[in-house]
Amino acid sequence: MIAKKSYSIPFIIWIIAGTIIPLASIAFYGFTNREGNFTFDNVMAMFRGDHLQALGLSLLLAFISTVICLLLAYPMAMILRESKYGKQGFLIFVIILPMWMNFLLRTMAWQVLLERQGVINALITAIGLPRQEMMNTPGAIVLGMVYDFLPFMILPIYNTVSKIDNHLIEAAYDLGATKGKVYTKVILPLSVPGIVSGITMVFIPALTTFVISNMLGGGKINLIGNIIEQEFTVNSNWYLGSGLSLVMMVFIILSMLMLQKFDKTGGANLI
Amino acid sequence: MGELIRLEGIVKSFDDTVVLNGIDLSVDENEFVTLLGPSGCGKTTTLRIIAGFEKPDEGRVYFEGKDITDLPANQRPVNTVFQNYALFPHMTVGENIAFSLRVKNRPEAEIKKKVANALKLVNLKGFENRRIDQLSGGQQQRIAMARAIVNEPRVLLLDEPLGALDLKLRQEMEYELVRLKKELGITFIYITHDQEEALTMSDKVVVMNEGYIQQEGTPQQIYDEPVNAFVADFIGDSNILSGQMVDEKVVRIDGVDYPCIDGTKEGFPPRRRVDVVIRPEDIDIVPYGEGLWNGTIVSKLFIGVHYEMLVQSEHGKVEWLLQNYDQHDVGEKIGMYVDPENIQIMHKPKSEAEHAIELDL
Repeated sequence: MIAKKSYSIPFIIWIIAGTIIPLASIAFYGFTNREGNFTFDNVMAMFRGDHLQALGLSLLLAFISTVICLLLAYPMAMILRESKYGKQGFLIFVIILPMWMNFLLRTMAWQVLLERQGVINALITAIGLPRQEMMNTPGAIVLGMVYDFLPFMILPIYNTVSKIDNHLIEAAYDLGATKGKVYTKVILPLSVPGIVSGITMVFIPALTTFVISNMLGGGKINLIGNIIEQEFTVNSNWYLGSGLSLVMMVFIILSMLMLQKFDKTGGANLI
Repeated sequence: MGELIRLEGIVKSFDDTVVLNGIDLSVDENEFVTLLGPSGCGKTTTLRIIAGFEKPDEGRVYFEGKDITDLPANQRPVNTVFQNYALFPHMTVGENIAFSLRVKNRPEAEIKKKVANALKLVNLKGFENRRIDQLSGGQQQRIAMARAIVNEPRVLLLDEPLGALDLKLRQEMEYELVRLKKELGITFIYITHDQEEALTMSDKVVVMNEGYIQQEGTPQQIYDEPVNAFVADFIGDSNILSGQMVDEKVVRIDGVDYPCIDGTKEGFPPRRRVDVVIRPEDIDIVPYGEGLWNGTIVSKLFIGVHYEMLVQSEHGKVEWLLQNYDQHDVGEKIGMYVDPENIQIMHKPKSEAEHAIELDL
């Protein structure tokens, strides 16, 4: 059953073309100035006031969204685990269903709902309350992030908790544990791998998104993703964009390393 | 030794399938009781009802005379050794064993002492810091035992604990379990489908099938005096034959009349149709013509200690199973003799379904 080495060639080509070359060019641009000389300026630019502020806001909003996703997803996954088999397939289907629609369209739908003249304001004013400004706020961005990324939190957690052997839970009860202790000492520790993958799969895209902040922040709230995007598209400054991207990658790697500490099973379950 | 656990009229079904059909069972203090039966006979469900994982649809569970039917599993004075051990994979051996003490907030010094003690009892001294996945199957089995006994339960429930072990280890563990039970002085309720395990270790064997208790008694009683064809067939090899009482204490099997020790007083009056069980090792081989009946050996197998032979009888169509230490050749004509004591007469089932049998022990 040993595959021939030549079978791996397409994958090696794929990795070179899809990962190594892009990474190398980001690194090249990131450490180069317009004159083609080596420089740390692009990387150090992250520590400029406006960039730092955007990074701080990105971290904050990504953190809030991840926590909300976790708080929603964990009970959800447990409910899915407990529910009868036939129902499970259907519920999972319902959760995945929105993911079949384009991500941009889903975010755009929230624009329609949250706008000044939108659906929610129409309902609010209909019952006599004052019109709310919901668009272009950090709250709208968090809402968009939670809505878009929630399935990525539910699925890995559900996947892990559904594999917890029922006998372990029975054993814990048998040994005298109360319901609370069964959760804190058995179920929760055994769901850590799923929680870690869920956090990774929500936190990283939330930290780097520019689409959600563009569409629901109206360009008024700049996240670090928006700044990098603008450097590439509006300012055509690939050097600065690459430099900032490299710093972001360091941030992501650091956060993953921190998460790994919580996961005793090691990195095997990351993403 | 008083009664410790009593089940009264336990009925349980899962989705229209009746699993237990009215189980009455009494377990004495310090008894080693084995529930024996094929898979699907309801033995595991019975155990889970005693442990508190399942609630019976009907019937009550008593512990020392107190009704514990509605008491949740975490408040019952019983602990379980699970078939797949159910050791917590995220904890060390020591943490696994300490679990029941920690959830009760016992002082750490006491926990440490008790864990070490429990490990000593199962011959795994010093294993506290091992990880579960570093243990062999046999070691995991012992840790599961240690975890279940560390809290000094009154009753230990064992759900096919030796099922996953190889033959040699299983036989070793049988001795271990008996020793452990003696040292702990507690009640064991043990589940198995392996008749040898049941006969070796138990004080009392309860044979179950299709949600009914077929027979309960000492291993000897179960083996020597099975009450019906199911029990006889399940416990060891046997010749089970259809017969009829022809006279007081005379039964006709295979076209020949034999003396036996059961008569009207035992519930087998003349002309009653009966099942007869004769254990293969109880049939003596004698010279042709000198036995109760004659036959020809049609096949022979050497099975370690003894030979197993099939003998075609000359009288009817019956093929007899014999076990004998002496070698006889295929084709040899022999006579066979059975001591009347070893002819076990049983009631015919009233219908095809085994559960229609009325048990009168």
